[in-house]
Amino acid sequence: MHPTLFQSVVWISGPLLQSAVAILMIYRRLVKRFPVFWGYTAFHVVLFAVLYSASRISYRVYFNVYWGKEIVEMLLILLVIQELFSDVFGVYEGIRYVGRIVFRSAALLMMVVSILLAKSGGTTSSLVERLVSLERSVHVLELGVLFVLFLTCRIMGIVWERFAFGIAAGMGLMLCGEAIAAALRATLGAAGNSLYGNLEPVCCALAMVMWAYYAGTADPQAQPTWSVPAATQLAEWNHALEHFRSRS
Amino acid sequence: MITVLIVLLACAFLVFLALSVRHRRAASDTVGLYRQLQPVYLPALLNLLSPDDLAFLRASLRHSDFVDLKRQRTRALIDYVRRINTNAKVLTSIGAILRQSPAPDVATAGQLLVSRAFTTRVLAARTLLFLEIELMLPFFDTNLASTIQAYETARARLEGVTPSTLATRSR
Repeated sequence: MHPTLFQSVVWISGPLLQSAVAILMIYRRLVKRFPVFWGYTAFHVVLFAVLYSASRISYRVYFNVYWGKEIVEMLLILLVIQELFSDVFGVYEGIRYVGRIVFRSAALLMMVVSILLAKSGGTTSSLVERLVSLERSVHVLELGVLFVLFLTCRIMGIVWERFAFGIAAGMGLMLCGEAIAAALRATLGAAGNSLYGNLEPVCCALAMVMWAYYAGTADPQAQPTWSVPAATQLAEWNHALEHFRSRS
Repeated sequence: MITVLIVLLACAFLVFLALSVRHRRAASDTVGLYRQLQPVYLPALLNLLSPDDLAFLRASLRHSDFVDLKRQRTRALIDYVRRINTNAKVLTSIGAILRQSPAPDVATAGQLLVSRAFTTRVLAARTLLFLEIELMLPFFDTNLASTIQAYETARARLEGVTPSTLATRSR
C-alpha cells in the first residue's frame, strides 16, 4: 500500500523537525543541560535513515528495526522525564531530594498501574498486539510520571524555565497521541491500523514543532521585570493587619 | 472500557497541559506575583502567641470563656499561617524566576530563596495541621516558632535582592 501525500509529508517532516531541534539546541548551547533529550532527538534522526534503509530490504527487517526502536524509545522517554525532574528540582539544594522521591514514587506507582493495565488486556496471540499493548501501558506510565512533575511544580509554585517547559509540554502532547493511538489499536485490532499509522506520527510532528519553537525562542538568560514594592507593601501589610486585628 | 478510560485520561491531560501553558505565562510575571503577596504583620502575630498573655487569660477567665477565646485565637493563627503558606509559594515562584538571572549572585540568591520558601511551606503545612487539631482540642498547644523563623529568613532573602542591586549586578 502506497502512502498518501499527507502521510509522506508527516513522515518526512519528522526527521527534518528533529534535525532542526538538535541543531537549535547546539546553537543555543542547551545540549549540556539536556544531554538525554538531545540524544533522544539525534536517535530519531539517525533511526529515520536506518528505518528507511530497512524498509528497502524487507518487511521482516523493517518490522524488527521498528519495534526495536519503539522499545529503546520507551526507555529514552523515561530518561528524558527523569532529566526534566533533575533540571527542575536538582538546582535547588533544599528540595533536590523531593524531586528524587516524587519521581521514584510516581514511577513505581505508574509501573503497578501499567502492569495491571497490561494484564487486563487479556491474552493475545499476535506479537504485534502484544507489543502495542506493552506500548500503551508504558505510555500510560510515562504520562502519569509527567503529570506528577507538572502537578508538583504547580503545588510548589516553581516556575519552569522556557525550554524545559517546552520539552515537557511537547512530550506530554506526543505521549497523549501515542497512548490514544495505541489504546485504539489494541481495541480495534487490525482495523485500527490506519488510525494508528496516522495519529501517532501527527502527534509526534506536533510535538516536534513545539520543541523547535521552544528551542528557537529559548532564552537561557531570562531578564525578569521588577517592581519595587518593598516599603509601600510593608505599609499595606500593616494596614491590612490592623484592620484584621480590629475586626477580630 | 480500558480504551475509553485511556482516551479520557489522555484528553484530560491535554486540557491540563493547555492550562499549564496559561499558568506558566501568568506565573512568569513578577509584578503579578508581588501583587499576590498577602499582608502578614509579624509583631501582631508574635503578640498573639505570647505565652504570658495566655497564662494570664487562663488564670483569670472562666474555663468555658477561656476555651472560646483560645478557639478565636487559633482561628486567627490559622489565618496568619495560611497567609504565610501562600506567600511562601509566591516567594518560591519569585526565587525560581530570579534563578534565571544573568548575574550569578542574583541567580544564587534566587536558588536560596526557593529552598527557604520551600522549607517555610513544609513547616506551614505542618503547623496548619496542628492548628486544626488545636481548634478541635483547645488544650493542645502548637509551636509556631519554627514556621515564623523560616518565613522571616525567606522574606529577608527576598528583601536582600532589591531591584537596584539587581540592576547593578546585571550590568
